[in-house]
Amino acid sequence: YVYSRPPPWSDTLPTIFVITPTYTRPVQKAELTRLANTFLHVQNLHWVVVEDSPRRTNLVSNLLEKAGLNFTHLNVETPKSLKLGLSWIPSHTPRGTLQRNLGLHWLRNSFSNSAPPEGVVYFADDDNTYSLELFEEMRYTRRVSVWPVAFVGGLRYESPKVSPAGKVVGWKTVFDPNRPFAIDMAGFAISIKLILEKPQASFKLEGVKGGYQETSLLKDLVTMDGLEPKAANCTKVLVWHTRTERPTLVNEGKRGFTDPRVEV
Amino acid sequence: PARAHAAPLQYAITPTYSRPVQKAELTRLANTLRQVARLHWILVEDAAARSELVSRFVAAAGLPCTHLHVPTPRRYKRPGLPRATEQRNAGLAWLRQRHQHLPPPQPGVLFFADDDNTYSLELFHEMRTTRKVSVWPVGLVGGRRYERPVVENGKVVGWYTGWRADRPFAVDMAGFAVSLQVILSHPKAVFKRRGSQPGMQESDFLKQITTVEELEPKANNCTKVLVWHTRTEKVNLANEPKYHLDTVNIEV
Repeated sequence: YVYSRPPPWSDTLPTIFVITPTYTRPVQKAELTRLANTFLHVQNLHWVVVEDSPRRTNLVSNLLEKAGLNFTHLNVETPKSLKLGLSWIPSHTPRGTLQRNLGLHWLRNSFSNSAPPEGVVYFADDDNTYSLELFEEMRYTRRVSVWPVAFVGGLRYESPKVSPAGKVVGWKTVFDPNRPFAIDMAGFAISIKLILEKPQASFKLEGVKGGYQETSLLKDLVTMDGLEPKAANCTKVLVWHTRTERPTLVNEGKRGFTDPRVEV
Repeated sequence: PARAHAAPLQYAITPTYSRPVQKAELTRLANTLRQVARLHWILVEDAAARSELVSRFVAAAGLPCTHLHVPTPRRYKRPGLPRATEQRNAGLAWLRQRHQHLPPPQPGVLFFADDDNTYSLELFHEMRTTRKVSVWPVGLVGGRRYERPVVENGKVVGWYTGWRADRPFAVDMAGFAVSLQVILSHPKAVFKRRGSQPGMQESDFLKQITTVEELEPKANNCTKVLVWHTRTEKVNLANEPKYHLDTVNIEV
């Protein structure tokens, strides 16, 4: 079986580095499959998949090998607790944080000695839904671009508030709209140039209040009035924060009924 | 190019209904289906009229698409009753109307693609060689990691399933494909309401058109999972205002 190929790589088109944290659970292969099926349409996309795992798994390795995409496969395990002196305290690192930071670290390492390509970094969780149009909107980001995201904050969508002059002046959210960046992970992209200019900027690991993860990164990169609104001045929804139901595996029983060698 | 007008090799019949995640589901399904050459998408809304959202979506979908609609009668909209029956039958009716008068054998394979499932590209390749009715495993269904037909010597001899293995065809809607010619040769075969118990839709349909002996096992003798019965969480819209609505009307 010959798998699909993405559109041929272009030397003149900015590259989109998509950083996707992922973790093992029954729906993982399905999520990564339908993500890959979307990314296969996007020219000059480089998928950075970071497993929350002590080792890279065969499931993800094989999927990436077969998918036909340009990819980098990394892994870092989120510790369940942190050692502080002689005692262990539960780790409050939000899910995906270490993995996203590793993706940024890889990017910075990759271009420390060579000229970086034009392009952007986008954090794409493996259960969201992305339109193809979104990638073209983010491709020409100069510093940090933003747009609406569906199904977050208890709303149909959250959106940056854009002035008639085309500047971001606030946030249309119900949940804590006074956050410096009241925006979901799926709602912004950062130019590679800026990521490399500010090597200390990364997601904070601990002590981050709910909803402030994005702020913990963006505050070191840009101010609100420096944001570039996309998606027709933030009036179109091009990405949806979908979540997948946990499948009920009641019939597997305690010891598992199905053959574990059959990959799902 | 000349190939663009070649007859479709595959037809996907997708029932769909309005709810917040509809556009997202159709978007990611379309992203998958667009990767498959010569696939014709038959999208059937559970609605009395074509909705603007789906109409706009179809216009920009990027693959050959037929947009139908038929509303489910209110008396059938109870929990526990089979869903999407009328919509799938509308898809079948459209295909029959299009091809019934043409000489056999008509090429093409059809399958039922619910809008929240997940499909690998390899599945479409597997089903292409269907002569009559083919079957394969489905992931994350029946309370198990997967269900699958049990195959011996290239023939289906039983069902590996977590739910009612006594069904004549213990297979999920996502677990089979039918050649167009079989559909045309059995013009009365439809999904039934009367006398059909919940969970028996697939079985009641398949027994009208084939036998277990005739089934063609795919996916390496039904040992690979190439489709998953994923379901999307209901979205939390608790913060949507009842009053002081937004000044613009944005489609989601």
